[in-house]
Amino acid sequence: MALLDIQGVCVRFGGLMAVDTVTLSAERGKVTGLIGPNGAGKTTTFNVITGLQQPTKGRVLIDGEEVNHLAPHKRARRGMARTFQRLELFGVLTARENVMAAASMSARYRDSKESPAVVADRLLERVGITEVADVPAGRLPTGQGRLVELARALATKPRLLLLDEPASGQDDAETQHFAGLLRQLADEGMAVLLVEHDMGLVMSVCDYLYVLDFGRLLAEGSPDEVRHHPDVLAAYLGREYQ
Amino acid sequence: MQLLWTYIVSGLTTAAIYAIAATGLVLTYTTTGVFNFAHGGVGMMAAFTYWQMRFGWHWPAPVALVLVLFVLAPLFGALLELVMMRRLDGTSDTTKLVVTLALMLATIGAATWIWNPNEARPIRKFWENSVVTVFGVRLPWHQVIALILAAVVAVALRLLLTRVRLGVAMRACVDDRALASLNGARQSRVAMASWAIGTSLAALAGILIAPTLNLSQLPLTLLIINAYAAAMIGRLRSLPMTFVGAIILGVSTDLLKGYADRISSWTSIDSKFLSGFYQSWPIVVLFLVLLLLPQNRLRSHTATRNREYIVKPTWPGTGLFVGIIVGGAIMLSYVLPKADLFSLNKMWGLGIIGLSMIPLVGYSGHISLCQLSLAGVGMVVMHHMGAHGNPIALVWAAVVAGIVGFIVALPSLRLSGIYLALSTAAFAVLMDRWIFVLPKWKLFGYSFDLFNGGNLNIVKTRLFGMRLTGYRSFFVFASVAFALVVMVVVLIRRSTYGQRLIALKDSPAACATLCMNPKITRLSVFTISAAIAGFGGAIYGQAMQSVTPQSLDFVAGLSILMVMVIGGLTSPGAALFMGMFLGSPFVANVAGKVVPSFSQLQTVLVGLVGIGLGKNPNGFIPSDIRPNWNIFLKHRAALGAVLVAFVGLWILRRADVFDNWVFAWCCLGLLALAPVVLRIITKEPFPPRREPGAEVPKLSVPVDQLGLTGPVSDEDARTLDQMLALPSVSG
Amino acid sequence: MGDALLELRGVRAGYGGIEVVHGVDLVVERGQVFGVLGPNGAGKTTLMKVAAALHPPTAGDVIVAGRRVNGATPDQLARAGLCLVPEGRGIFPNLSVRENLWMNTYAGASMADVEAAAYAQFPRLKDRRNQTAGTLSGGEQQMLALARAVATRPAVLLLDELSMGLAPQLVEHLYDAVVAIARQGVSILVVEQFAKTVLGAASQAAIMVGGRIVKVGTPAELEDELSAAYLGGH
Repeated sequence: MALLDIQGVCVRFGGLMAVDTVTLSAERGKVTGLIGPNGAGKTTTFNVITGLQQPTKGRVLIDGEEVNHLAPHKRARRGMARTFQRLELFGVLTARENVMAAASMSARYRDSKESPAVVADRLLERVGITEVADVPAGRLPTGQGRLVELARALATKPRLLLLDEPASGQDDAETQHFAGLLRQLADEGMAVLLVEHDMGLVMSVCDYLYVLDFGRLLAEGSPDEVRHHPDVLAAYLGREYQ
Repeated sequence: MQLLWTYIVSGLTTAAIYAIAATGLVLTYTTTGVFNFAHGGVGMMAAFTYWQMRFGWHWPAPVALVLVLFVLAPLFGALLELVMMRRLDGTSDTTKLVVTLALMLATIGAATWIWNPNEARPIRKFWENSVVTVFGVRLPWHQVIALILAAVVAVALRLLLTRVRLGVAMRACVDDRALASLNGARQSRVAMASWAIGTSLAALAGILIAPTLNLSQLPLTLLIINAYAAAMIGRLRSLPMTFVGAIILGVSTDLLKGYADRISSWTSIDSKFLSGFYQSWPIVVLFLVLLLLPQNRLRSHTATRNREYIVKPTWPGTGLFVGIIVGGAIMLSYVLPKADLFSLNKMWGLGIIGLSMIPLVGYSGHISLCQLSLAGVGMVVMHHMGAHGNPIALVWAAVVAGIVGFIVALPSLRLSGIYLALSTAAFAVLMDRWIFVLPKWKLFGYSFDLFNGGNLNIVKTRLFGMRLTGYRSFFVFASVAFALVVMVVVLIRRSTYGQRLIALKDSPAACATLCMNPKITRLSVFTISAAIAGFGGAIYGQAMQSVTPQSLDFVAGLSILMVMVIGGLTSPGAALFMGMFLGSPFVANVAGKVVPSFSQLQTVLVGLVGIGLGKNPNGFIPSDIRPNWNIFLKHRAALGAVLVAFVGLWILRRADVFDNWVFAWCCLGLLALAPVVLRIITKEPFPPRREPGAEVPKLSVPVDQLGLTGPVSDEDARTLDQMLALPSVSG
Repeated sequence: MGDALLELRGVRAGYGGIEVVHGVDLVVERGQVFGVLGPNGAGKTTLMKVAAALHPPTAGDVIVAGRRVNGATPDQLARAGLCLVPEGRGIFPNLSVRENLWMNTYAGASMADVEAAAYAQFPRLKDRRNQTAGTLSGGEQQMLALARAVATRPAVLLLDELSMGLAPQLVEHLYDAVVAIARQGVSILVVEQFAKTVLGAASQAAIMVGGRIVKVGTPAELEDELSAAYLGGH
């Protein structure tokens, strides 16, 4: 059974179907990609999964158990963590304090004896930003800010990690390092759901891809299948490619 | 039936005035995004100005009316926009709120300063003795006029907003300000127009409402604030719903008053218990409407750049601060005359009430306007339980205030920003208008007499068998209490709990996805802060010895918040500063020699400084004083030298080498000069006035000159992106 | 090259030290629709903002109608005849269609002219002129946004993601309008994430990936490059 399943989720904003009957799942030990143009409903899907947005229709399941009625923090306690496309850092706290705050918020819900300070130092090193540990997060450039958010999410010891455009604002070397880190996390058994526009990263790191367009699921499959999927080609490149 | 009609019709005329006031509020809020808390204060000023012209100088009514409504009020509104509100673009909701609160304080202070509140100022209604009969109800002309004017305002606004391009541009700005300026509409002009109109409407409401009660600053301001409930029913958006809200509010108020006797006999509650409730009925409505507002989604970041920062105090620094406070208090207690010491006693209690705001407002960003009322709860407990100086009463004061704070927070949990501020303000007003003035009552066989019939006597605590009645002993005791609470606040900031509070302020959405239950955390910080306020109230009450409900009123609480904001809401030093500024006689004594009516001027000053806050939301202590003194943490020897110098001065004073004035000036001089001298000796650079990254997000030149005087800097471009609400480019 | 109304030369731009546009040159002739295509994050919107003076380039020049306009302000450029229709819906949702058009008169044209020009191009808007703009369909909303470009008769028109969230038939219809505007002698720079939407309308196009223009040519010439640019690999 997949760790995360969402079934027939719809979100309507006024007259607009932001997400239209989307069904997808994310499995342990796999990096699952969610791609599609701006406005395709990717971030809204993330918000539905994490409980920041109630779906108009459809179900969200963790371990086969419906969590629709659970508040965001209760879902987080079941092992869900995320990063944000528009950074949601705790700006006045330092990078280290950001991770410590997350570790102390989740301390009761993860089995770990480490103190928040130890967790913070370990994770900052893991994502590779130890040198800015004492800089207030609000003053970090976007790329490093995203890494702070990643470390913060990891501090809750998630089983499911949702990453919303984690590579934007990072240069090529940083993206390379990041791809390696993602693979590691998946190999440790984490289910990773990735929204990303950097196709190089998506194609190299994802095990399975879902393509959204106008809120609808356009295609799914392995990166290679998706790359040659006629609907995807048509959506991205034009009708003549059909 | 006839009676019912009478109340409904008179309720409608009240509603008309509320509607006029509320539409002004809604108009400025929707077009400029600033909720003008000072709307009531501005209306009150206008009513006084009108009185001055019409009855003070005996000008003809039409002249006075035209001058106030069509010249002075719009000019004042436009001026407000020009010098204050424009700068608030891109600042946090909290800053906007505090600035308009400061403006309200300034208007109340200025009006009290100009028009002595002890003089009676009769203001006549329009066509005072003429009556017209409508549907069998005799209606004074004044009320008819109010009804007609409300209708005129409704029609005129409708025409303006749909038939005039400026009005359409106002609505366009509500939708999308950036796009409006891309179209070529000048946003500044639109904002100015809406402030001018909003202020005129406040003025009209003020003039219409003034004759229904004696012209008096505070009641008049609060009466216009009643109209905020109507604006809330319109969800601060819809003008028609605002009119509906005004009708509900006006009619229900008059019905309640009209049927007071019957309600009393029906519920068998004596009307003397309910009169305060009827008085505060609009506030109750405001509270209820706020609670019924639809649930907000968890707030995530706004486009504004964070320019606020929170200093993390160190334990050595705190130890030093606390040591200096207690040591200084002991030294002072030996050199000050009794009378001065007596009035200075208040500063510690006030200071603790100020400290209670630091975790709540400073760290977690929840504006609470009811801290002084919670302190009042502490005083009540102290009066009843500490009658024999029992020190346990101090603990009970904190516990009971904490419980009350918890209960207040419970329904307000999902509110934030202006809504939270309004609901806590409603609670504060409810307390000082109703609960604190309740006469004695009996419930379940127990007798309650909260405020002892309007005057609480609070006995000083007994500690270790000694009664702290001596001026000196109480002064030192209170300073120790203050120092202890400082340590508690520092402990909170340095703990992971403090980190969580700050995290909650920065991004509730992120907190929720990191396992935190935002509601529990908010509830806990409300409770802790209320407990601190209750404890502070207990100490403050002991210093005052006898307390009246008036000394706990909403505006007094506002002054405390405002001085805290000026000092820096995240800094314990601000609480000390606030205590000294509001609680000590020195400032008044010194300034009183220059300006005779200083106490009113003090309010005005506090308001004016608060208004300047848009420039530096961090307060002057964290941004100016602290960085200046940080150097002493590095050079311990120098610090020792300064401390020795203070003790030396004190010994000289004790030996009567000079008097208190010289002593005070020497100490101040030492404080001001020591960091400068040390920097010169050690050749360390002076700190920048503000920390990097804390810059005001403001263009270096006005937007229409951008790029003319020089190349557009990166910073300006980023600010411009923000101002135009352009999405930042992802990679 | 004398008839180029918009020209970018060696434009570089970035945010807080991270460069996202690494030296872009392009020329839009009078009456031409020039499409810039590329996946999200390629720097297209930044390029657009640089062209409209909403974001300063760190290097390079922006030339409008032969004049170097570095350092001009957005509203100066707007008055000089450059019109940007931003990403998303460039309309006021709570105003009626007519009131939306009324806002266009700030640029100088009379209300009668604005209405005439808008309704001539988009007759559907005339039927709905008293309807609240927010209740229009997505396509009609975008027509209303485009009407500003029609009514104010700019020299250069910048369109950012015109097709976002719209059904294909509608997009085709909108691009017909764009071509018609170009025929009146307007230089149009279109930025689109999706190749399909703009290739039919553009006479010239460029592929932008990672902040660089990797290929310029006619739409037909670009076909081979597109798949790799969008989906990686081959």
